Amino acid sequence: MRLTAIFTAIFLAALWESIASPDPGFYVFPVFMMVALFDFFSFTNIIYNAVLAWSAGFFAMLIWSFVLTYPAWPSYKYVLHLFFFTLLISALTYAFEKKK
Amino acid sequence: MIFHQIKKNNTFAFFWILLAVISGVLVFFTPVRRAFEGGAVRVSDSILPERTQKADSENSLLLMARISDLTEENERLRGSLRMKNADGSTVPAKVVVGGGFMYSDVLMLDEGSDSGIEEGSLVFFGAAQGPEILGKISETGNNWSKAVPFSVVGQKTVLRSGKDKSIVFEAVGVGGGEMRTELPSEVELKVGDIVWWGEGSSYVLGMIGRAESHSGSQLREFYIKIPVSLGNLREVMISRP
Repeated sequence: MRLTAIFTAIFLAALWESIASPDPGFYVFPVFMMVALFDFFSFTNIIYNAVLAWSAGFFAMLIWSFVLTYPAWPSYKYVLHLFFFTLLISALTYAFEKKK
Repeated sequence: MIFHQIKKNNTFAFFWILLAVISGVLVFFTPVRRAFEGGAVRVSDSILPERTQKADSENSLLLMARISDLTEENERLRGSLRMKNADGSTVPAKVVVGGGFMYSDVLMLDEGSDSGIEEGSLVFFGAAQGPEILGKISETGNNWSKAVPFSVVGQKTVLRSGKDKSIVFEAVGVGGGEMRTELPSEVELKVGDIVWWGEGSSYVLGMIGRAESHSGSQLREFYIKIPVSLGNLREVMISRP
């Protein structure tokens, strides 16, 4: 996996972590997981790796926010926020890997 | 082969023409053009200084009149919003980044400790009905600060509602400008009721946006909504201690 992709994803996660994190590690740890999964999956067409990594990261963040707001789910706006954030990370990682 | 050569030349000619057009457009719309204009004005000033002085004087008078009008308008608007900036107890700040889908439940503001803002300062937004509280300052720098609304995911806040603000309860932020609480079914609260901040009950926080009952449960869920979209918020007021 390209270092550019890893560093970009981690840089963005750190940026969001410093600005908008409701809990320590809320943005960084799921992004670590996404990058690791992207690298771990071995589909020839890397779009599958990207989609699997994105869904894993999104659901990890969703579950984490559910733990914070227990017993309710977070609002749909917040879920959309998580959706877009994880999508951005996946898309960037995919784009950098595709360029390789 | 000859045809190929001609075609190649034409391609290069087209490239140079395109480059010239782009350069012309860039020069026309960039500071280079402004620099030329500035030079022309300076030449004109040196030839006819009296005319320039007269024009400056008239412009100054117009500007002073305009500033006076704007100051009056500003005071009038602040009065209508009941903002206490005149006595210096609050500081207006612009939202630089925040809200929306990308930065949910956080607002980066352009005023910081240089303006007397401290961690824990209250953040309001203007409203015709009175001061509406949004959240608190969580971090400050010299010329920036970070505001966290009470609706941030997982934050617990004491609120008041009902007749005479007699119902006191704790709500948890669920993100996106919403908070949630559970109250016994017999509590007389309904959708549209105003909710005040518990620690300073003169500040409106929002209203009950929806209520849900579940069969067999003695509790009802209430969702409190901030009456403004965080993504569309452009300016807030910060209280100075």
